[in-house]
Amino acid sequence: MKILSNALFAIVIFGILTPAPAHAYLDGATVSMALQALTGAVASVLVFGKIYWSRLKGIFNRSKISGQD
Amino acid sequence: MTFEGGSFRDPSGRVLRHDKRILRAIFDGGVVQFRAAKDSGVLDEMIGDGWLLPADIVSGDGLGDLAPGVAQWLEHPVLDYISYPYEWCFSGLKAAALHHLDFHMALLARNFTLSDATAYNIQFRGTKPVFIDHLSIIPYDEGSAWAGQRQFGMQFLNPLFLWAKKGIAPHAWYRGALEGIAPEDLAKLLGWRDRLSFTVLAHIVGPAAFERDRVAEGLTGKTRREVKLPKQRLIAMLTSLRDYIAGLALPTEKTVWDDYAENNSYDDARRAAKHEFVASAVNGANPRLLYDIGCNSGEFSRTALAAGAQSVVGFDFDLGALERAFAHSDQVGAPMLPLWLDATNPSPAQGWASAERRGLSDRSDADMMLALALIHHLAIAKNVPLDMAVDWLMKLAPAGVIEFPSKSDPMVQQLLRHRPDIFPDYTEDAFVHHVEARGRIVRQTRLAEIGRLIVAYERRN
Repeated sequence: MKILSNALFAIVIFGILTPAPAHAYLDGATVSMALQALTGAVASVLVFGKIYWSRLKGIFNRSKISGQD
Repeated sequence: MTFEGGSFRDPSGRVLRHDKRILRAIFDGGVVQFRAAKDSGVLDEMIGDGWLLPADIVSGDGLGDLAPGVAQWLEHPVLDYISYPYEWCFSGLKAAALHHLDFHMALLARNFTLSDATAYNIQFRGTKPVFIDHLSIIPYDEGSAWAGQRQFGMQFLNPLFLWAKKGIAPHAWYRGALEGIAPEDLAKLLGWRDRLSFTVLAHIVGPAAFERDRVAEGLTGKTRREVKLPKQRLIAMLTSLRDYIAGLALPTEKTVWDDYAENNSYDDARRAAKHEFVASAVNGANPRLLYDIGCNSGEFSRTALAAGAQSVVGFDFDLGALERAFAHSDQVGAPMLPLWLDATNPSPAQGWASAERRGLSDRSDADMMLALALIHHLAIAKNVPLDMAVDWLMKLAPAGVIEFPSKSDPMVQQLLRHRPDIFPDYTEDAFVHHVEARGRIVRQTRLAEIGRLIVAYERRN
């Protein structure tokens, strides 16, 4: 699994390990822009997915409660 | 005037102490960004909401000689105590991490961001974290990266992960590596189950792979295509990281002192007498800052606060006790900060020029200290000669309370159970002699017929 996950990351970030442009006093080369872009994209799906999922559950629960009434 | 030893990495400004004031000098390189934040109202809003330490713009009259080339001076309130992440308990480090992420997201909503993610930019007022570096707040450029991702990982996420998922408190590692725990080191400890987590892949395994690649590439760095990180995705990344950290909890583990508050050798009357003694000693001294050395779950810190101490820093080496002290104080909003301390190996002065992070005794002037049920652990469990133990304690504050359990005390008996008594000098007479050699005993009483002497002292300076 360790090999797999490392391999996955090697594939995903191979060639696009872009150091972030340095806008701050920290060395921009210490963070990967491509990795952040990828992380941000996945996180968007997860975070907004979670919000929509809880809304969906809310609608379902409401209709269940009103059904019981 | 002295520049703060830890305030030098960002050339936009420096913090200095001058006549018991805390001033921040902003240089030409930082003034444009500071003005942008100030003029937008974001600084005042964040201060008003309690995220950020207050800052007053002050005139440079009379301050010009302190530092050349200052474009703007700020003054901040003096914090009771500066603490470092390698001294925080789990809940403290977690609260600081969440504060950092929430603060960053609040800034992004106002089109500002943070230039870094160092845990040393968070301090505590009681158990409430506050952000202290006003020059880390810079205008946000659409599409820009999270500059502090690696720093956040090393100083917040990785130590918290190690603690919560591996059951290893990170203090020794963190204190030895002030910049925190590198993802490439932590990645070596990960099992396959750990790697199933998106957060672990994105914020530990990924950055570790990136760093390995970067180092392997050396100076022959290739030009890579431009990638942008839209703001909404940056916020999603911070939100998912926040959710992950909010869900981290300590593995339940029984510690030696877990039941101490309930199951020690005191009965209720003796406990009440001890509370009364502490309260009357504190009441007379009215300390601004009190150290409670060996604070356990903060029971006597609370008595000291109720008796008039304005704030307390509690120290203990038992992390379970510190968790309880943190939870108690946090619940009632008490001005008590519990910190991890091995009294036989306190935090040293360290970092650049051995001045970046201060030693335990060099950070603040406590007016008073409590050392209750502590000295036998130093003198017997740790073999510290009694006079040296008394000396160390009394140097911490000009007034205080020390409890001395004699050898007949059940707690001392327990410490001697598996070892020969090689402590002929551990006697009550010797203890009193050592205290009186350094100060005056202003009050004393016995907490039980068999033994415990408790004294309040005033030190001769």
